[in-house]
This record gives sequence, C-alpha cells and structure tokens, in this order.
Amino acid sequence: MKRVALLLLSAALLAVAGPAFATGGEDELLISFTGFDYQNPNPSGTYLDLGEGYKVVGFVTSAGPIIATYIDFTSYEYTIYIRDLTVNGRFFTFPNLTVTFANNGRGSYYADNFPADGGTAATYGINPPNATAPSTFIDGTSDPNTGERITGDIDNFVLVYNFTTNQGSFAGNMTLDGGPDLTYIPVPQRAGWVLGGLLGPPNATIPAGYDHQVDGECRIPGKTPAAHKTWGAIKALYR
Amino acid sequence: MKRILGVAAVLGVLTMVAGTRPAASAPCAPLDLCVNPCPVLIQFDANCFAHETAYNTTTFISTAGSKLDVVGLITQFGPALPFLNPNDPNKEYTFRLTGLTSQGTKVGANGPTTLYDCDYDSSTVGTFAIYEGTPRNAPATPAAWAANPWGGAVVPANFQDGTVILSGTLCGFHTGIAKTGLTVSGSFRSNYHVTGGTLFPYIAGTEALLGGNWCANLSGCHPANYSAHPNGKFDASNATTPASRSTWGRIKLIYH
Repeated sequence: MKRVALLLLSAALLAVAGPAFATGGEDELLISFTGFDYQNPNPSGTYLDLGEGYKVVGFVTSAGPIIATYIDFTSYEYTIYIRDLTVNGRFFTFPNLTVTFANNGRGSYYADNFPADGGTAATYGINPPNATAPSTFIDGTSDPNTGERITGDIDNFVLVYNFTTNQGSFAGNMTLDGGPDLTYIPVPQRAGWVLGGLLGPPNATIPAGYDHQVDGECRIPGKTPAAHKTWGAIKALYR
Repeated sequence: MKRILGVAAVLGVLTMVAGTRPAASAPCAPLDLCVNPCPVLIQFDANCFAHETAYNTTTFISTAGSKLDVVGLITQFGPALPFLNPNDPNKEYTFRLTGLTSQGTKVGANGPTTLYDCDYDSSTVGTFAIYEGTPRNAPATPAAWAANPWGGAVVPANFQDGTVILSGTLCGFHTGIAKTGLTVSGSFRSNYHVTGGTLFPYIAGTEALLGGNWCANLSGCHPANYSAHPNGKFDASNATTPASRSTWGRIKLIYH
C-alpha cells in the first residue's frame, strides 16, 4: 500500500513539475539570437502597461547541436520573431519593474534567402512596426528551405527591468509545436524555454523606437539517457 | 615644428586616456555614440561560462570578495573585423574576462519577483582579452564543458592561449538575476574599453557596451563548478573605424 501511495505521489509531483527551471537534467541550446524589443500594441505612455503587447525581432546567431546540421548560415539568413504576448500583470517599485504576460505567446525562427538569391535582408528600421519590421524578419521565398522553420507556444512569460542599472531580462516556457524543422526535435525535447537579457539606454545600438537590445536563447531539455530493460526488471523495481 | 608638437600633444593625450581608466567604483566613462545604431563587434553564444570563487548556485548569492571569471568561444565578428573568421578550422577565437571582484549580492523584491543584484567592481579593475589561437582546443560541447571544470588543465588555460588580438578594461560590470515563481532570468552589463592587442589600431578608443543574457540555473544552463552561462556580445562604436595597413613612409607624408 505504501508503494502504491509513493508511486501516486511521485506521479503527481511529476505532473505538476512541468518544464520547470533548474529541476531537470542539463538542457541544451536550440538557437541563440540577438535583436531588439518593442511594444505593440502600445496605446499607453506607461511602459508595458496592462493590455499592451510585447514583441522581439532579431537574428539567429548560432544553433545548438540538435539542429546545427540543418542550419546553413552561409546560404540563408536566419531570424526570430517573438509576439502575441499581452501584459496581464505589472508591478513597479522604482527602479524595478516586473511584467507578467498572458499565456499563448508565440516564438519562431525563420530562414530567408540572401538578397543575391532573391531574398530580403531583414532590416530593423525605426519605430516598429514599420515597413520592414517585422515583415522582413518573417518572410521567405519559393525556396522550400525558407520561411518559418520552427514555432512554439510561450507560457509563463515574465519580464523584469531595472531602471537604475538599465538592464533586465525575460524568460518563459516554450513548447515547440510547429514548422517543418520540428521533425528534427524529439517529442520529449520540445518543452523548453526562451530566455533573454535586455540592455536599455544609454545604448547606442538601439534603433529609434525600439526599447532594448536583446540577447537570448531558446533552450530545450537535453536527451534523457535510456537503457533497455525487461518488463521483469522494471516490475522488480516496485517489489 | 608646430606639427611635431601637435602630434606629440595628441599622442600624449591618447596615452593618458588609454592609461588612466576610472578607478573601480568610480563612474564609468560615457558610452560612445554612433551615427547609426552601433553594430555588433563580437558575439558569443552557447560556449561561454562564468566561474566564481565564492558563489552559491542554489541561492544565487555571490559573497563579497568572490572573484568572477568568464571564458568563452567567439561565434561572430562584426563589420569592424571582417577579416576574422570564427569558423576557421585552423584557428580559434576565445576570450576571458577577469579581475572582477564581487561586492556581494543584494537581494531585493518587487511584486512576485525576488531580485539578486551584484556589482563586480571593487579595488581592482576588471579586464578582458581576446585571443586568436591554433589549434581549436577549447571545450565546444556540453559534454566537453562538463568534463572540464574550472581550474583544470583545459579551463581557463585553453581560452587564453595564442595571440592577444584585443585587450582592455571593464567598468561597471553588473549581473541581475530575477526569480518569479519557477521562472528565472538574468542579464549582465558592463562598459569595455580597448587598450591593447595586435588589432588595437582597428578598435582603438572604443568605450562601448558588453552585455547579454546571464543564465544562472544550475543544471539548466551550466555544468556544476560553473556559476552561470552568459550569452551576449561586445558592441561596436564609432571608434571602431575600419582601418587599413600603411607604411611609415606614407604616415610621414601626412605630416609633410
């Protein structure tokens, strides 16, 4: 009876644990990116006010081992777009801001041909959304290797910012659920995270109308080591 | 004669500026501005890890006096250094940040978030160096990092072999970690100033930003024995003017 109770308890704990940070084995990099963030929609003069939206556009700077074989930086331009994040909680005590977001944001990475091959160079421009952002970050050509490659759902997204040190960060749970390259990611490794560091003004890298420079990563759980066992051996574990 | 005096005066001022960095804890110099948004100078991603001598990876607390080091592999060079190829199979570009002394983590709170802020300036000034080495011998996979803890035969030694192509000082290095429920995020930010290295003429004078993501989750982002996984970049500035090699004769002609 004790064993059954323990099993039930373990199962329950596993069920609520979800893709939590710092609880599982070592995770691994899916992609690294750098870019800039902005508010959209942005009806209020208050930064990331309730109901406002948060977006990031940028470039993929490197790929982790699981998809490195399928990424060709010499032939394609790789970009990212994080969107559909709506502020549902805001806590501000100077100099610190914490913003929480409603679930079901989205994050994707894209491939596009270089201009010489008929593609469009991704261009930030100013005051996004504009004529080139996000449009040139999410486009592709008739080349079947272009367009959105992997996309995912983002939940539990939180952004923090310190207006004295002029830096902050964000993190959220990201579940990969679409795109032609999803097939390269084993199912147990699709529930990962999106993380980013934010550097705000003074910062001469930020184009006008964007809020922060972003450096980040999408990380996924590492492979779980497995060993072949017989049913007898497994049943013996519970005796 | 006036020209010679003028050149000497300029050289003297340059020497003074390069040689006198603000003492630690003093305000950092203003960042350079750019006519257009400043581009990337150097990007580093997955293969970069931090180590501290007195840091608790569970509580995110750095004890005052703890020494922070960061080593990493460079993955991209920006337009100021177009002739460097980080994917060259015969070369390896690495960097090390060192001389960073913790002032102790300050724990704060804001709404549902616990904040862990730490300054790494104290009686010493942090420095950085970027190396070009052969062969490629630094860890470049999670397994290799796990097998090579800080202080072993490989780390940091294999990140500081080869030629120093750029070096300089850091000012205002700060890490911020935030924990909201189970969600942990972080960032780091610092000024950097290039003062030496074989490629100094290409980058001389830069007062620009170094920063990015700071993932501090033990077992999520970094192997045991390391304290965090930084992912970020050195930004360029207007001072990073594309330069060309010349001869002493041509240079002398400028002053005739």
